[in-house]
Amino acid sequence: MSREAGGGFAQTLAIARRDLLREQRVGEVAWITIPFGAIAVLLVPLAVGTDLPTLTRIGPGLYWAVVLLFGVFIAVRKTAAETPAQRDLISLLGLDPVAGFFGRAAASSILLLGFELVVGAVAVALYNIDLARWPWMILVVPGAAIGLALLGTLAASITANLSTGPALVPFLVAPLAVPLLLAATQAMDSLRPGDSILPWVLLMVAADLALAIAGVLTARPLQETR
Amino acid sequence: MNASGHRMGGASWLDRAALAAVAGALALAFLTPPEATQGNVARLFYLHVPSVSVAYMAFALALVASVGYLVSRRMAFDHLAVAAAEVGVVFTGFTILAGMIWAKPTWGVYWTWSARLTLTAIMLFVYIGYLALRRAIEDPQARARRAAIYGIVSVVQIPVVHFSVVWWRDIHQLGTVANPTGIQMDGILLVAFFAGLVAFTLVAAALVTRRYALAVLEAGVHDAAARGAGALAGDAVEAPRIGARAGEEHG
Amino acid sequence: MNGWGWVLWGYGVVAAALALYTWTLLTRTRAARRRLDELR
Repeated sequence: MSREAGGGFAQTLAIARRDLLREQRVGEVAWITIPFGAIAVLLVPLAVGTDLPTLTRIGPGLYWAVVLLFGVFIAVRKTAAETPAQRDLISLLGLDPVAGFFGRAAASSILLLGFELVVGAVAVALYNIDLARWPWMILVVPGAAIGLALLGTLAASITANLSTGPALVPFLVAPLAVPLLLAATQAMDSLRPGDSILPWVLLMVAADLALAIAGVLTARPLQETR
Repeated sequence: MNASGHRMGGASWLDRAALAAVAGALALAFLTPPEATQGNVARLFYLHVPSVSVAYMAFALALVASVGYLVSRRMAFDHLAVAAAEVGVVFTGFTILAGMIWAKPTWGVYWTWSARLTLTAIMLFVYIGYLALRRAIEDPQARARRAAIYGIVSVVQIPVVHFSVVWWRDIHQLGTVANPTGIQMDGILLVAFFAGLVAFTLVAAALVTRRYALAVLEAGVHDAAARGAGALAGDAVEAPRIGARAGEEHG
Repeated sequence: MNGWGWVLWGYGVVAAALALYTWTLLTRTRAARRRLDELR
């Protein structure tokens, strides 16, 4: 994958396409992760009570907690994992590690966006969430998906081929996802009284940018992890 | 392998019967007079209740087929189990969709957290889990055995889930939730309901037939592929292709 | 939305879902038959 295979962007697209094709064949996110997130949304009221005004009030927060805790499983999905032999082959083909990182993160972002939309529809219906000024969510929802995908891809690369990797990644990601959680929930909270959500959107963009930079800086050393 | 494949090309007598029954049921559902207390909205009853009845029938069929597989170890039972379970999931989905759209104008919310609604949703997830488990297993015999065991375990557990949820609802006593059976049904309305039930049963039977035929086909594909791999083992290893498509190595 | 609106919405959503499932079933059948022909 050197000159004739196109630049970094083409490589990024090729990797993202590979990951999405694998998901299409195996259906790991569609059949396991998304239903798991949806059932979490269903089970919480069984535990805390089904008083609708309460659910409507705490619903958005519950939704974002579910997205961050369960959506991270998308980053550790089996179809995103590469065996050492596969990694060697891909790097021998001349894939830019940065393109590889962004390609994997892009595929995870798209899958996470799907996760957010389906689980979000379930949460809106079950908790009777008021979607006032919903067009603003067009900024918040993909922002959270991108941030979580970048974070999850980083953590998954760091723990690649470790036997405890699938358990470690959610644990490593959760504390670092706090800015994303706060930005998303506070943006939704501010939507209702009609306040500006711009500071929270900016926080999310800053978090996404910082993670993207971290990915660029660590892509090369990460390639050497076994 | 192609035993039931011959009628897959066009519409079978079952497909035609299902279509005719759907047309009749739709006519009855739309032309009958409005129901006394809820008015026109109650027409969703003819959609919602037949769906859930058919879903239960499909899951019962899946249970029978699972037991049949474990007793006889014949793959036909496994094909029937997956066909029935998948169609059951589809009709449970219809039930929930129609129920939510009925609940919104009736009670002002899409979801009322009644025991029945919660149970239906849990049942949906149990059988999505069943289908996800099947997708995770490659070998047909291993898949049939594990899926049959999970299918039986779920059905055994569902009554316990049922009682736990009903008990939980009784303790909380949400007075705001209206009783969904507060509908007066007699005469022509009852006829419309039974027409819906017949139509949905036929549609489900047509879908199960087709899904069964698909399972037979897929088993044939698996056998043919296994034979091919045995003949030329080296064919399974592809040389790496350099270029834009290099990322598509099999995982 | 009046009563009829909700009724049409409900029947429409379920009809669309049924059509979608039938379509996926036929597509999967066609793909499986093609694959079987290739392997023979």
